[in-house]
Amino acid sequence: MEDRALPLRLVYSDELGQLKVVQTADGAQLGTAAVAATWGQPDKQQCIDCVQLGSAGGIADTATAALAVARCSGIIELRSPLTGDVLGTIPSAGSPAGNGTKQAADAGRVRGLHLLWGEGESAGGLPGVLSVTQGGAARVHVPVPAAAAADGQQEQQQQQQQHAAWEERRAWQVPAEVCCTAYDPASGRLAVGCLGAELRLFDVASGELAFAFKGGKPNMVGLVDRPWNTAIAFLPPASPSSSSGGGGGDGGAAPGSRLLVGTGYAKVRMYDAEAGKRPQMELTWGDARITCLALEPDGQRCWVGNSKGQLEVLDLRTRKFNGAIKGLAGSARGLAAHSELPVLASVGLDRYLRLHDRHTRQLLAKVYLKTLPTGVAFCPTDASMLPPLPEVKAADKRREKERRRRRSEAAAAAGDSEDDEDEELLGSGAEEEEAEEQEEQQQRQRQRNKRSKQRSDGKRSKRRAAAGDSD
Amino acid sequence: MGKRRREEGDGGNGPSGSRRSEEAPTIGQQTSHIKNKMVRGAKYAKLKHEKNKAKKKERAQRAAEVARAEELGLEPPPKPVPKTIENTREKDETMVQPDDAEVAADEDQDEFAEHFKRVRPPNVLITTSYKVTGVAYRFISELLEVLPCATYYKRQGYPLKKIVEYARARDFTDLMVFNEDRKQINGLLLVHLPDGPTARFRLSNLVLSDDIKGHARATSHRPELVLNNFDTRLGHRVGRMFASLFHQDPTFKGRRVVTFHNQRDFIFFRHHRYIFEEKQVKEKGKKEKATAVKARLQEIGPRFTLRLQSMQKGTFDSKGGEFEWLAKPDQDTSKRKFQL
Repeated sequence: MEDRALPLRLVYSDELGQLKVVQTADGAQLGTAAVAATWGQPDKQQCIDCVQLGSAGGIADTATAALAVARCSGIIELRSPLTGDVLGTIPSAGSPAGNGTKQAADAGRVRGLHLLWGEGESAGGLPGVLSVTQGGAARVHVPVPAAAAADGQQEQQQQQQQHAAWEERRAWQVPAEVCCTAYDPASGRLAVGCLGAELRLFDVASGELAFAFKGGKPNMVGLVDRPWNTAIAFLPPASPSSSSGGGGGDGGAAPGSRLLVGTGYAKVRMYDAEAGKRPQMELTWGDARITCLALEPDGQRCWVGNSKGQLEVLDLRTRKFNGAIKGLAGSARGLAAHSELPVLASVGLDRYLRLHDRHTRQLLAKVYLKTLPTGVAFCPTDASMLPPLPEVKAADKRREKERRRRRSEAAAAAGDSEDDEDEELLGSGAEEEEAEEQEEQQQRQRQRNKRSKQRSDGKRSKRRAAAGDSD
Repeated sequence: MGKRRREEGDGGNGPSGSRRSEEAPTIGQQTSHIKNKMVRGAKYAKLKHEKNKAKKKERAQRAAEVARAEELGLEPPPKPVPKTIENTREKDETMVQPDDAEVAADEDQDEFAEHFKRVRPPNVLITTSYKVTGVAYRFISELLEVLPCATYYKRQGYPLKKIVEYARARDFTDLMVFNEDRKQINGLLLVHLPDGPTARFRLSNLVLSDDIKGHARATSHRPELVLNNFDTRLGHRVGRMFASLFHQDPTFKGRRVVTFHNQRDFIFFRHHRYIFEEKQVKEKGKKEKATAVKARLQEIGPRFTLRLQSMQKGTFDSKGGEFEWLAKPDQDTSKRKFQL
């Protein structure tokens, strides 16, 4: 029992500005998922647009884990995903001319949020933050090293410098009406999908346009859809053996050139910058806007969710959809694939968080969270988060023994030859203190009592047998 | 048999006893394993006869107990409650509890909050599908009497998104679009403005006022509103949507009631007026008649049934919009499971 699997911990953001932490007892019992903490008060003005969670060393690294939260006012908060404490605040981009109108407010809302682990690790292990607003302002913020310099008064300093500790390193303009973004840490590229502009790749280190893609080919009458990319995911570089399809990019081992994109017109496209500007693959899936993509850690399959609550996995090798998940009643708002366990987390507008097995597609857990979600992310966990093992106290043990003794006496009173078997069972049960085990045992006992009674009056037992001994 | 069961119940624990009674096999289950039809039939008849006898005995016993209690002037034993689909409904965790602060805070800030705070009086635009026939006009003229704050506009071939824009610009709070197909009204699209949500209903069993026997005519008073059984989270949202079509302060003088009654996810719309009448009632053993107040109900109409098809966030956008809830075949896992 010592080496228990690590628990799963998820952060759920909602439209009322709350962050909810859902945690399971341990990695083996996912059905125990329940809300462990709620951070923030329900307030629509604080609505969370984007949430990004990560750590320098993957899912087991809790020391550097950081959670970036973008509010609808454009303010970005950096929090600790373990305690919920605010580590820093980045002010909003400042809305352009026409202040006060709804359009101006929308332009300042953050549509893409990413953590940059390469930059600014000096300040207490905090990452840099890349944010893209709907109006098209992309900014990179890094924590100022001064905050971490004075180790002794770190806490005081941090509280003082909460606003001063972030420095805008770079800012550039991307097309307006941003819907979604993706960031590839390997190549340092940012992909931006917009309404009205085709997919573009930007180099985060310089802020320059790295590549501009084109949309699908015109249809039979020569019409093209207005560009509307609503979900993006970077794919790992194709290995020479697997890129047998029409791509032709067999030399394309460079990262950050292959992307999977979902559009508002129910199309899933695969782009490859090495192979060309047009999509290398285009599939029509469902009949609604594609809202989210979640790539599996091995990069072979990608989960796709749309605004009607359909959820299916796309196999990137065969380029076919195989295996849907049923049960979402409302639009899928966020998907997250666990990096080690085969678990997929999904949140939908039906206000549920669901955990599914990625292989069997079985529902593992379902938590009702009462508010409309905006995103979900897996949080790193360590062994200290495991609940303590239920230790059986001495008094409890004595009481338990007493109870057993009484039970075995009752069995003896029923007058049966199965007594010795009972004893055996009890003897083996004494080693295991599980409550479930006891419950089962009690049931068995009851059944046995019943059976013995039946045997004592033969006539009735016959009728009982006809009844098919169902109880 | 009854005695035997009681014996067993005494032996086991409380919960196990009730479990057993639930799992008691039916006569069909008890006999279905017999392959010979004659034997099976005989066995079935025998068991059925026994069961009926036991039932009859139980009934008589209960009647005797009631009679005895009455004789002694005691409280009669409680009547057994029959099982219905409603009271055996599958538990739903989205059922809103009255003390749930988080849900209350959410509803305090949702799209309907302004209406319930009496900041924004209702102003409803009613229109139809592209091509309509007489039945739609008759129905809408009756509906305009139900909703004192509604205005009818001809569809004029405008697409719905244009109409939503228009209505939003003119400070309408709600938009109702009735769909007609083969001379039958069969759908209702309800859009709350300016930011949604949008609900689509199937409309059936429409009966116009004229076809209701002994119907009354509506007055121009603001009606009272009765919303029954909108208990889940989705139900609350639908209920609030209906409530936002009517003024928050009814004129009680008019004694006009509009009812939306939800039962097994079907929403029944009814429109009544009521009256309190003083009547001369003759009581037993007294010579003079006493006056008693009696309530009477008269239907005004129309009446129809709604069934929710989808609930979409935001105003009407069936392709790009995000659905909060969508009727799907995989939801019908049990006939005791309901959404509203």
